[in-house]
Amino acid sequence: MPPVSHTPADQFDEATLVVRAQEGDARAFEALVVRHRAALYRLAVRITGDPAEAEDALQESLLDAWRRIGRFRGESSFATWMYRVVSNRCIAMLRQHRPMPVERLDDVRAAPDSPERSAELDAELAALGAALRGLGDELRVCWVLRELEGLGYAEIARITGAGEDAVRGRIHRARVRLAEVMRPWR
Amino acid sequence: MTGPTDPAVRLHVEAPAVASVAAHRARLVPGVVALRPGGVGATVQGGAAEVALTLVTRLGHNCRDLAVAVQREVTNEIADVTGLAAVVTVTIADVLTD
Amino acid sequence: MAVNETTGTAGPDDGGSDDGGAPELLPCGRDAATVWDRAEAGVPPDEHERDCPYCTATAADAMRLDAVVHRMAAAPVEPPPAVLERAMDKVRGALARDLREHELLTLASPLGPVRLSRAAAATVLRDAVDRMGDVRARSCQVEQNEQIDAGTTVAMTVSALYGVDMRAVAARVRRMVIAAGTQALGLPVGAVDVTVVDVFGEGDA
Repeated sequence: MPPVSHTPADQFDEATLVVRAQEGDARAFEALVVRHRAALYRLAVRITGDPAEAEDALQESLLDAWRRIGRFRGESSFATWMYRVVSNRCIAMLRQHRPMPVERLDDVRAAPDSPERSAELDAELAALGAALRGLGDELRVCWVLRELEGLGYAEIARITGAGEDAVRGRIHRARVRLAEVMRPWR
Repeated sequence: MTGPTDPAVRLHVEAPAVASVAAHRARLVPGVVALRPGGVGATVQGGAAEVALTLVTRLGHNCRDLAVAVQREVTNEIADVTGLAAVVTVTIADVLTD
Repeated sequence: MAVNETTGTAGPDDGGSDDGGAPELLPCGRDAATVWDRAEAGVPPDEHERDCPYCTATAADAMRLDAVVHRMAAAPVEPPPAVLERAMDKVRGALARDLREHELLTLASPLGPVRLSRAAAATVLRDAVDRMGDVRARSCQVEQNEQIDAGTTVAMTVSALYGVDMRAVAARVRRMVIAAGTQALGLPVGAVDVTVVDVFGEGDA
């Protein structure tokens, strides 16, 4: 075969990569997930609150996705579908592993290198992290997708499989609870 | 493909030994990139062995020719080393294209 | 769009606010999430919101949380460098473990059974077609007849470079698949069905 240069797998369009992955091409699958790697890991860290747990969840999610990609019908984008796989896996892992470590979310962030105000800001952030972990899984996932990932209600509904109204309700209840817990900070 | 040359010695070769010989020889065949973990199996019954190898190759080696070469080399090696007549099943699990 | 699959974990529907599937309404009737979103986005309160204690309280909560939530959202979360590689190792391991009989093709050998992963064969055939430059292989289904010598049937869908003659493309794809089947796989291909399902190069990458 002549060594003509051709499109590397990571530059193919999503539809092509999805079909190839569905037919068992692991490289096409890798090319798909590599595009979303950072976002998927970030989502897992935000839902689980723990980097080690997030890494486990991401690995298991990719296996889940690989095994189920034949059932991906393209009603949503691949990214939305992956978000769904990751959040489901995170929730499943959290249910297995409760109670969770409580101080770990701070590990994700850079240590503060300046005086009291920075320490206070850091403590406030940690308090928010702790409050977040105190929420139920459904509330937390919806809140994370909305407030940290910046997604719209319709997309959150597709990811969580809940109705859009239920998503609005969950997000508001999460917000109110977080606001209550954080009241002493302002 | 003769039995033990010294009639006073009765040689028994167990399956794991046959599997090791097969794996070792298969890796030396040009075009074999790797054997799959857990992709080597062997059974021994009487003077015959059955070997199953699952391997990965790369583009540039004709898959069928490669598999036949592996069968030939592994069969010969097992006969030379153990005296067993082996039937080798080859499964090509992946072909690297990059 | 409509993907409705309940998670099955919602609590009993006691008519209370715990996930009956309804949006949360403030006592004044406004949708709480919307009031919050508007405050968070810095939209000035409308006439109702200015005078309504419920809307005012909601907006105040939103403003109070806004800064710390934004800091949390802005905090970089970098994946460990090898996180994907480790995961892909598992995927490849699963790929090898999950190889089942129906996912294998048979290659002719005088010395014993030889099987080839159907997915690997498809990857090789797609790769050969990709190398043509003006075609990209998408689906590749390889079906073997009971009689190995009767040749294999390959059904391929492709996208073609915008502007090329699709009939000529199909003929070249067919030749390429037959050649790759023989030369790279050792698998005689009897029939090739080519379907052009898309075009590329018209503005996209």
